[in-house]
Amino acid sequence: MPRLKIRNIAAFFILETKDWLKYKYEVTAWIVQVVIGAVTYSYVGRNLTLQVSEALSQYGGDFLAFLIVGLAFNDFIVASMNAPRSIINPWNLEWLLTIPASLSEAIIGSVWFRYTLSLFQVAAYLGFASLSGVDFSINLPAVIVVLALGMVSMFGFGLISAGIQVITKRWDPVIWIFNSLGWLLSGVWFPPELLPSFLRPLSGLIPQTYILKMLRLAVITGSSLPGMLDSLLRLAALSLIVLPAGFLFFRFGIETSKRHGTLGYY
Amino acid sequence: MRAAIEARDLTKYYPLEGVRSRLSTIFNRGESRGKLALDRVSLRVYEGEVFGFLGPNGAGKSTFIKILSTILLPTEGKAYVFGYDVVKEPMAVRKLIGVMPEIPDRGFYRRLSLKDNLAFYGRIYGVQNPVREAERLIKEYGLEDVSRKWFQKLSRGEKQKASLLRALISRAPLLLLDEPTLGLDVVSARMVKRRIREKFGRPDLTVFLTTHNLAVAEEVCDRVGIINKGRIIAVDRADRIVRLVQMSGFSVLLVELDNPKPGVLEAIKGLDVVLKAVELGPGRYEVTVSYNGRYEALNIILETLVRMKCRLRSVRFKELSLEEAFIKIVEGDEFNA
Repeated sequence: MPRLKIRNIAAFFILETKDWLKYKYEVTAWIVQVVIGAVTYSYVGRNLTLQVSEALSQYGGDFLAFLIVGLAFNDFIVASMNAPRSIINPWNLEWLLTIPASLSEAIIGSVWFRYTLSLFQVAAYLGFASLSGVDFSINLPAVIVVLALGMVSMFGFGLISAGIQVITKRWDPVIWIFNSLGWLLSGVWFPPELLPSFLRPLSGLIPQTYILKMLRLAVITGSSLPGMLDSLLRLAALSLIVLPAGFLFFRFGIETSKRHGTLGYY
Repeated sequence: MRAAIEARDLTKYYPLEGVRSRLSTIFNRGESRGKLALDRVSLRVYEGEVFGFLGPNGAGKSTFIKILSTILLPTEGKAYVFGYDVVKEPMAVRKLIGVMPEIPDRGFYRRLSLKDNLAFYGRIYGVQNPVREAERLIKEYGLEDVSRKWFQKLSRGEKQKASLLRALISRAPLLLLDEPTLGLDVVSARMVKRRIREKFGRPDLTVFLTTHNLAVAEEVCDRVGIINKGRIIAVDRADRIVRLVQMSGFSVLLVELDNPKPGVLEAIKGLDVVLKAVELGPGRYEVTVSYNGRYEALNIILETLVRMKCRLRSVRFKELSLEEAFIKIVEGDEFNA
């Protein structure tokens, strides 16, 4: 693994921040979306009558807490997956490979920017939920470990996706699967235990399922890592497979495009 | 003298279109013979010189520069920048090059200003005070009025200059400039040519540029390499290349007849000594012959015209400009293929 320069990562972080701030409508829309989302979900969650199922009991039985944590952290998780793809756009990729900064530095700088945005969103969602009466018992070390492991596994999928897309230029099955099925199967809106039995095994193949489960336990009930050992081990195993595979796919995609001379193609 | 660029038998095939071709190159991990872009190119560019790569469109100039920039892998052969292998040591190479691509927009963040874009690249290249350096370059090249504009709002010529500044802010010892004067107005082109000739105020700088504009090569380059269809045809000083063409290349005869007749062009073209003949107008012909046998060719052509009862108004050898010499070299290369 080549040495990473903080200076280069910081340069990309500054660039992404400045670039994003230029899109004033997007910035405004994002702020509004976060505030409205936090307020709306808190109100809806508190005022809906829901049957407390056994699936929710492990999370303290409060559906609002369950929902808010899922929505708050899902963006954080997905940011890892989207970061590699954002760098491989044909406008910049060819150019990035001529300057003395590695793609890793570019991706980390970009994802750091997205995490920063997501952190604000997490704070807003949890803050408004607290004001609505939700009790959180946050085990911060467990949250950090779960997020770190989650980022690694989702990053691996992001690299696989980017490696495929840099060759095909358009089609990418990884993101399609995560976008179309991930929300349903991973438990963003409701516990995956409530899924029909034929879908539950698929739920176990998606790292988001374990990440969201462990985050909810760590944030709502204050569970420590030993208390979620089963999910932790499954996520670690997935990360061990997906991350190296992701690097291989990504490198294969870049090398193939360099051989074909298609780095700058749309 | 140290070589800033060294290429040894550099060859590049681009895979043909189509799924089967692509799959065969992906899974065989080798190039099936596709479109030949570079054919065993061997070249040395020495530290401190300004070297121009001339060639018509599709000759392989951009392919060569892309390989040196580390964004394209060669099929065979080797290329080195200051001794670093462009394939095995790309990061070491990138620290030593400042690149100006043919498409100036690439790599700029469109909604950031020119100043912010340049400052970003300054940071990447480790420039001490990137913002101040960006401002200095912007002022030096007359872009202060547009320095705060979004990059995407700049004109074509302004973007071209911006792309040059991006290469310059790197302070790299080797600049790779792909068509540096393309899209510039006359005044700006003259300024850029002058700055290249002065090596941007850095005597130890090496500049490798590609161009299809012979005036640029003639005015700014220490040496010129001519490439056509992926092969190097000639490498030498610009003035020597002209003499080379004139002395061992081709001569052009201009023939004018008082009584244009049908069949004259075909008759001239049919002569073994004639490489090419075109009709410039009624009774006016431009005939390309080998330089070494030009007088014999002249005799044969005159005999043919006399046999056809043509009345000759004038016949003379034409002096070639560098542009015409270049075209003849390229055409001659096609004659010899």
